[in-house]
This record gives sequence, structure tokens and C-alpha cells, in this order.
Amino acid sequence: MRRSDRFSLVVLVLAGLGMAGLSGFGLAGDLRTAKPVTRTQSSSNAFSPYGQPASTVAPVPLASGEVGEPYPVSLSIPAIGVQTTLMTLGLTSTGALAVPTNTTQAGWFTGSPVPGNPGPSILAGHVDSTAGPAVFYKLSDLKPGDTIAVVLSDQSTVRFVVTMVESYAKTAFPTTSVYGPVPDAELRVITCGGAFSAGHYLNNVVVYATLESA
Amino acid sequence: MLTRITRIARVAASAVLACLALLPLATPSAQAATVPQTGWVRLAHLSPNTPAVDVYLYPFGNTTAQLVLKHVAYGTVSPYEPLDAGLYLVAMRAAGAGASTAPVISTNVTVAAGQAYTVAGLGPYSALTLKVLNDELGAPSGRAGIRVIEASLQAPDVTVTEGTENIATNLRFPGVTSYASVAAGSAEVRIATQTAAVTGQVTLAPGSTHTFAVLDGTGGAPKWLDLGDGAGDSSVPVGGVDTGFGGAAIPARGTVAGEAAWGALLLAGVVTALLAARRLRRG
Repeated sequence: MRRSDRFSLVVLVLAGLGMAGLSGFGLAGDLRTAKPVTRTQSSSNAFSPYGQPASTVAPVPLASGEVGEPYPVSLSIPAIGVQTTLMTLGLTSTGALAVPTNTTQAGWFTGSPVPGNPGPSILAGHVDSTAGPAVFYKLSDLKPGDTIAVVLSDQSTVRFVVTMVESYAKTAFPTTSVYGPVPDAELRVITCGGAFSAGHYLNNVVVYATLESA
Repeated sequence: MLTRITRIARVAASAVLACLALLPLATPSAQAATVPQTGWVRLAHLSPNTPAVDVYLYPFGNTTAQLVLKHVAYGTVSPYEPLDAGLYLVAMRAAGAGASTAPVISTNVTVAAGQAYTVAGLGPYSALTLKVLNDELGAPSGRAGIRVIEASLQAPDVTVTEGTENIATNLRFPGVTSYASVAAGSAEVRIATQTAAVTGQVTLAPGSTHTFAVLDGTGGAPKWLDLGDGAGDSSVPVGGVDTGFGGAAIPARGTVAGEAAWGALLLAGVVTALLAARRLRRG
């Protein structure tokens, strides 16, 4: 190989690495826009291996209000290779959404409707553990049109179509848009994103989805 | 000559790539994240002696209808149609009339994000109105919301109870109540007229809202529809969700590690661009 050709090749490789590095940054969400933020979310204890305690202080009744109604047991998102069982999630002592007690399983908030019933059904899972990627590591890669399937305890499957994927600063979390009432059966799948600072992610990634029309 | 051109092309390509590496710094910083901009509208024919209609929904100013419902008869309520927030026109024409004939009645609807509306033909045919009702979609924790639309000429005065709750007392045709807050769960609904009463069971999910439409029935007794309006979370979490431990995080701006990583990338891009430019000049 000629010296000038070899040099051009090296330049191309360097440029390619630079691009790859930046796309890696891109995966972390709006890292470019992250400003240092004072953490105002209250936390009753210091940062523990599992973050906020997942136990519920005030038990939240099943949103269906009826004993024996089907409840969600597993979740699959083919576009990003997610296949997980679902645990139930309540609220913490400070009223925040409790988080799954392990990083390989996602959870369903029992204060939200069973997926497929009218209203916003809430699912949450960790983006990473202390060691590396977790169940919802690739959640922000989802695009409008992707499918999310939830299997219920009666073995029926409910399918949703992604309509929007957004990343919000936790200090400006759009509570009304995420938890507010809707007339149709919808899903919100939540994980962390953005910059990681002082032991916590600064953003939440929210995937909005609506029931697939028959 | 050909070798020189291909060499220039290669170096130029790498220069472009290197410049692209710098692009993210040039893009405007804070891009506002958006929330869903969808609202919902359903159409209802609740005028007992008005013939069937064709219902047209237009984005305001548009001559092409976004939604057309054919042959909507009394007692029909369409499912909610999701719509982008904005201004719309609803027109009702006699069933089978052409799309360019004059509407029997029409109204504007302003759809706001996250809000729902029932556009209902109400009243007797001789005094038909097209009303835009604001629908409540959610109720406070453990509760449900119910309102009543009195759309029966045969039973023009009704009293509606749900369990032990009074929902409407001597509601006259063609009235619409505001939402009453009741306990969630199962209960018996009783609709009493001057001469008769009909009963039925409802199950109200916590955080859900309902519209009961009282309609002409057979044999003098009215019938009623339980329209599900919306449902929310029966308790609303506070703030964001703590779903990450940082094991796969990229160092943040403002930290030493973060700035070092960014700086190294920047340097690599700048050096590459300079070298490429130098080669191009020499080439």
C-alpha cells in the first residue's frame, strides 16, 4: 500500500472512531443538553444498591377494583430484544413510583389500569445495574410504530403500538401527560436516561403507546 | 491523473467525516421535549325525533372531511376519535345527502391536547342543537365520575341513582348534568320516571368516568347506555422514576471524566480535519 493511501486510510479510521464515539454519546440521550442540576427529589435514605425502597407503605388497590381480574405477567418488545416477566410496583413512602427490586425484570404499577383496559397503564424497569446494561437499556431506541406485547394472567396477549419516545428532566417530569387519564387503552414504559450525575440519572425516558387497533 | 483524483476524493471524504464529528457542538442545545398533542372527539345522535344523519368532521378550513360517519341514528355514540389539537368543524347532514349539501346543523370544536369532547345532537327536531360537551376523563383516587344526559322524549323527567348516590334528581329533557363523584366499584343503577323505573348493574373502575345516556325505550320505560368516558391511574406517583444505577452511563458534562472524554473526542476530530486539509493541499 502506498504511503499516501495508508495515511488516508488512517485518517478515515480516526474519523470513523470519532463518529462512533459520538453516536455512543447519543445513546445516552440528550447528554449535550444536560446542565448541572440540583437534585430536588426527596429521598428518605442515602443511595442504596436498589435506590428507593420498593416496598409499599400504603397498599395500592388493583386498578380494576375487582378480585380475580387478569393482571399483566410478562412483556416483550421485539424491536429491542426485550423479554421479561413483570412484578408489581406500588408507591414509596414519599409517594414516588417504586422501582423493581432487580435489574432483569420490569414492573407494572398496580395503581394503573391493567394493560388493555382504558387509561394509562404504567410499566417501569431499570436502564442499567451497577455493573452494566439492564432490562430497559435499549428502551430509548424504540421508534413510533414498534410493537409492545403484554401477556396477561389469563394467557391473552395485548398489543400496543409506540406513538412517541421522549426524554424528560426528572425535575420537569410531565406528570399529567404520563399519568393523566385518557379514554383509550394506553401504555407508558419508563426508564432512566440522560446524564448520570451524583449517583442518579437526571432524566426519564418515556415511551408512549396505544392499543393496536383490531 | 486518475490516481490523483481518487486520492483527493479519499482525503476529502475523511475531512467531511471529521467535520461531521464536530457537528453536534454546532447544533442548538436545549431541544424542548414534547408531550402528546392528542385530544379526542366522539359524535352522538341524541335527538329522539330527528332522522338519521351523516356526520362529517373537518379540520377547520379544510373542505375534505377527516372523518365521515354514515347513517347515524338516534341513540348512537361513536367511539372516541383521536385528533391532533386544533380547531375542527362538525357538520350533520341528512343521511344519504351529498357531501356538498347544506348541513342540517354544524358547530366548531376546539380540541386541546389531553382533553376529550362529546359533540351531541340534542333536543327535539324542532329545536335541534349541536352541543360540544367537555368530557372528564379521570376521577380522584378510589372514586369514579358519572354524569347523565336526558335524551328521552317519552320519559322527559328522570331521577337517577347509583347505589345510594343521587346522580340526577328530576332531570328534564334535554338536560346534561355535571359529573357526580361516587365510590368506585359495583352498584345498581336505578332510573325512575313518573310512571316506571329501570335498573341495571354497573362496575366503575377506580379513576374512571362515565356518561349515562337515557333514551326512549319500548313500552314506555326508558333504556340507558353506559358510555365509558375515560380512566386514569387510581393513584398518581409523584415526580420521576429512579430506574438506573449508572453501570452503563456515559460520564456527564461538568465532571472531570466527562470533560476529558469530550475533549479527547474533540481533539481527535480537529486533528483529523487539519491533517486531511494538509494532505489535500499537498496532494
